[in-house]
Amino acid sequence: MTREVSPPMGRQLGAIAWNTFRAAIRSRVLHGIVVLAAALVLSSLAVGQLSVDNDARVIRDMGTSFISLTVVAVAIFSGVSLLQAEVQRKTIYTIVTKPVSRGLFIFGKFLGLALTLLVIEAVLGGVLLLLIAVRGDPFGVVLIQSLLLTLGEGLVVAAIATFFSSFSTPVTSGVVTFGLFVLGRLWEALHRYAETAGGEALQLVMPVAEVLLPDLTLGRADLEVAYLIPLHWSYVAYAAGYDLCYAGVALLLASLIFARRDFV
Amino acid sequence: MVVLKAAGLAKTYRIGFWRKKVVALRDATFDVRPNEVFGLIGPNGAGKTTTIKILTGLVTADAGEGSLLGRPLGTVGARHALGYLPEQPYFYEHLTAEELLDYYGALYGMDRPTRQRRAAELIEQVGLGHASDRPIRKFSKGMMQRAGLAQALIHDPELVILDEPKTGLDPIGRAQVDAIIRDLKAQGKAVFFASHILSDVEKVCDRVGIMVRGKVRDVGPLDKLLNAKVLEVEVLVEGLDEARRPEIEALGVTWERRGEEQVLLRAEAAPPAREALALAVRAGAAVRGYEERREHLEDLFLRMAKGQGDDA
Repeated sequence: MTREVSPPMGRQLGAIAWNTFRAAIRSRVLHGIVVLAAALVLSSLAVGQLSVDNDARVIRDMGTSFISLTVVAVAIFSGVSLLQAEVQRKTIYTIVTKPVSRGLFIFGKFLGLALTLLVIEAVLGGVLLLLIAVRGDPFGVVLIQSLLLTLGEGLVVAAIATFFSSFSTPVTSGVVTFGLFVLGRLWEALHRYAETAGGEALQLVMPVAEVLLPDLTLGRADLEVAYLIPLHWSYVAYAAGYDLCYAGVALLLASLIFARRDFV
Repeated sequence: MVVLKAAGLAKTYRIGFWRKKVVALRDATFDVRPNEVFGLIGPNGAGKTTTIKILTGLVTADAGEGSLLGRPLGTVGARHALGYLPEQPYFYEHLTAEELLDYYGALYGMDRPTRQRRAAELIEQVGLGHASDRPIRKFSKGMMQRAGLAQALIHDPELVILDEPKTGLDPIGRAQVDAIIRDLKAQGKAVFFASHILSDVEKVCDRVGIMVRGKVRDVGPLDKLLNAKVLEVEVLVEGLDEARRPEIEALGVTWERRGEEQVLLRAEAAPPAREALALAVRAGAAVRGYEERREHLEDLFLRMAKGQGDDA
């Protein structure tokens, strides 16, 4: 029998991530969401018919938007219950009593959720690209770049949800995460408003808000997708780096809070 | 060398909006030795589960200290030597028993072949062989308890902590738990066993700790803790004439008729009971039963609980 005092962290991380991913892919609710989202992506075909000579653009635009919304919705719903479900169902009792640090548990759970988001995006992105290919519409690398940016946005939202889930109820976590998602999407608009019409109070708050609020506008490339204008890969890398840093800090804070919790 | 040591563990929870203080544990002091089955008994709310949660790292103690094989409680090193079955365990419903044990084995850092071999052994040992590939969501309460026992043993731990391990089990399951505990002891392992079912503890434990209102009142081997004095003697006789009743009762023995023929004589000590027995035999009655009742764990527990109540 293996008797290390500190078990290999990679094996533990992999086991937690795989178990989280396995729970997600065996969930009928998630199956339903993916089927519905795929149907919505396909529905862009019908909406595209209503436009004059712009059907290919409408399909790209609507398709990527539906994918983005689905990824964010799954990130919020799964993220807020990522830790709370373990606490409420008491499965946490058999995890934190094993030689697993609580921080590692959170990172493992998040990794499983990230894998789930990746698979969902791959499936829905595949449906969209197949639709474009079958119709013979023009294809651009920006579609792939947009999907990558959407995944980054999903990871940020999932990390925020996980952070709130480390100390709050799923409902509260969900509402606050959704609020931050909306503010994050309006990041540039808020910034402009503060510069032009905001009062002194807003001017004071904005520097703090700029640090705390996620800049989710980095993940949007609607115009580029609509007109098939490729993004520079350095921009994609910058956005990905930002997303990973933001998610990493959120998870680190979640780990610090979770490590101090008593499981009564 | 002790396997588990707890000294003065205490915990106060703060509950509700006003953060009201609730003292769950005042003083838990005891140790568990190698090759020993240690039972912690006490009524509901005595602090048994809080003690276990501190030992397993689920809850942090406000005061006191403890160690597991020399490592401070709650550390990763301490948890590695520990197998834990929570009270009314819950598991991932999407997994089968095999997958569940494989998952927990991986958390202990076990390699895949070892996990698979150990999972197969334990599934048979706890009687889940017929349901090893069934999702846990379809498990009964008893099956869940068996799966919980298997996961506590997956890494062959030095100390196994079992919180009410027989809850929800049928007689076969209960006997299997007893057998597993004896088997662990035979392998030189230590078992810490919390229960409010005193007969379960009495059956398997070498030493017990009695916990009342958050404090471990007394610790020791059962035969040392139990009073050797006879508490009551019962004599069942047949064919004893009612005319003998005044003589018997004069000895301080109670008379209780059981049906047409039998009389139950009950005394608080052996001498009057034996005198009454001799009298009955001389009067031509047949003796159908004689029993001296000494103190059981239940009596001891009630005695301690009463004493604590008096102290308060």
